[in-house]
Amino acid sequence: MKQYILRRVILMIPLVFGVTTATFALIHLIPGDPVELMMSNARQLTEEEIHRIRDKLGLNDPLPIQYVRYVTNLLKGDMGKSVRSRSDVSYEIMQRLPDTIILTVTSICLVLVLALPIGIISALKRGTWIDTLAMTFALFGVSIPAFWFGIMLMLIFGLHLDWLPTVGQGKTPIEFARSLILPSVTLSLILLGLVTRVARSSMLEVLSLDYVRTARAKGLGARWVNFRHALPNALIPILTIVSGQFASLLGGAVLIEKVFGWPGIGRLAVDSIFARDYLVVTNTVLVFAIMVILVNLANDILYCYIDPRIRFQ
Amino acid sequence: MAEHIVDLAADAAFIELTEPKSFFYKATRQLLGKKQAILGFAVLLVLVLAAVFAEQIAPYDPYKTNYANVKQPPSAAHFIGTDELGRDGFSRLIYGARISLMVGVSVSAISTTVGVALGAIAGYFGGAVDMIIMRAVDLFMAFPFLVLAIALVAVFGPSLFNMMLALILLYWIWFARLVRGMVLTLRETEFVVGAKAAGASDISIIFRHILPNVFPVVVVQGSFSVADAILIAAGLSYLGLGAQPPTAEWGSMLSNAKELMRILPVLSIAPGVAIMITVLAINFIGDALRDALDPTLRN
Repeated sequence: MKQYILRRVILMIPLVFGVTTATFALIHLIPGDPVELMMSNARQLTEEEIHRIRDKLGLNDPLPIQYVRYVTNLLKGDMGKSVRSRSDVSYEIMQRLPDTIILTVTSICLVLVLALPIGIISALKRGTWIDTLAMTFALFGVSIPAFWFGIMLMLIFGLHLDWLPTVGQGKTPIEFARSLILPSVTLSLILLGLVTRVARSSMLEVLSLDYVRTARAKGLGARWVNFRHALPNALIPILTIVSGQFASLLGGAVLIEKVFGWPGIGRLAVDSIFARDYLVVTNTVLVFAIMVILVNLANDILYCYIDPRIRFQ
Repeated sequence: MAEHIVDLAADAAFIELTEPKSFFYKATRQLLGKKQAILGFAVLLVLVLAAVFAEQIAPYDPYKTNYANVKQPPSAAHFIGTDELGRDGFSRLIYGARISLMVGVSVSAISTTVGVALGAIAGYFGGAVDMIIMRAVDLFMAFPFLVLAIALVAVFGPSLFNMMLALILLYWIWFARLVRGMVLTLRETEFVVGAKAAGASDISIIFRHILPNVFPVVVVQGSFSVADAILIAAGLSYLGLGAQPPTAEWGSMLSNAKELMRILPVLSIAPGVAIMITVLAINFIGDALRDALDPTLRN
């Protein structure tokens, strides 16, 4: 077990290396001189001054040296300074990261609470009207633009019924929870349809296996067979899909945060693009990627506890 | 695309009398036997016609501002009202079909072609090409798709063209991975080994023996990717990273309508419904295509 986890962690290293290289490349691909971008509000600089600033920032060094410095700074938690707020980029991101995590985790919980029962019931009632209804629901789930669904929820529950706040984040715990409802429900739509479909097909597949038939032939009750024998095995592929789709949930969070004015790192990234605050943009992208890599690692480790067969492959 | 398949059906009906039933005949028969598919094709046909003949259908010029007639509620003259510049919402909606369909189809078509070509090369020849492509795939998979698309648009600069470029750059990888995996299996099959033993060239093996087997899955996934690209493009345009104002595009119309949400909710509702109908129609077709073309996925 320890060996397996160790191997997973070691396999992660080249990926992290690749991801940092990609964001480093992104920084250098951005058109325009970084010094000029940084000084866009300040007075016009002479050639000599620009050269001196470039020297000071190390922008005249060869790229490999710049890359090494970039990575060492990252390891120290230094991501440079934001042009817009003049504060540390790492500070800006760390301040907003918890809000994005709270939003995505709440959405994942909602997805599991809604999609699992719907998918499993529709598998057990295959071919009935319940199944048709559930699959129609899933089809709409993958066809509705999530951000527009959010706007609709805003219209209905915010403006029309006036039950919930539409934008921003509440300060007190109760206000906070209330302001979290609409964004997290909206975000959960991104995975709801997919996970319902996967839950259904994975349950159907397990139900057709020999050992389930054996359990039935033994005379075990339907409920016992369905929930004790079939369900645990059906959950494994669902787990893979949910953690594999964590990335698309994070991507969706960018849009949803923007729609609801939720102060997470997704909105930070989008706002920074328009403010030409590129260090914030690239570092947010990096933080997103690291979150995805960590979730995949956690999934791999969790997986080998749940399904011991994995370890021997 | 819709007309093409209907043609295929006519051909198939003719062939039935003369030839033994082909794969395409059976697939088309299955496709047309599905109510969902018919509905999907019908809706898509309407949308395509609306996009092509937008000039003739739209009651007003979608870019014509009219300050005497701003923020009008829905009426017989303006089905979904007018926006803050007095532009007719319904006309803008019709022109919006152009952009969405164009983006969806071209992003999907180009990235599918590139992805299939590179995936086939990687899977068939292996070696350095394969390694580079697969490492690129691993890397891109580590980023949330939308985040990477946003980052690329930030690099290129926000515009409709740059957004399409960014989407193509990200989508092909997905197809390359899919096709590579299939080619790896096909390469070892008896008919390919046999063709090789018979002296067939690599090119002819790829085109005559491998690609035809990849084709059904690619068509199915390609059709789903049209729907996906439309959704993502609308989202990016909503953020202001895709189609730029004053372009009549559904995503940017939604972002525009946000200011008027209280007084004119219909402007926030209609473009989303249009996206949903388009995506649903394409997903209907995709589902039916999958059932018809991909025997391994048939229930």
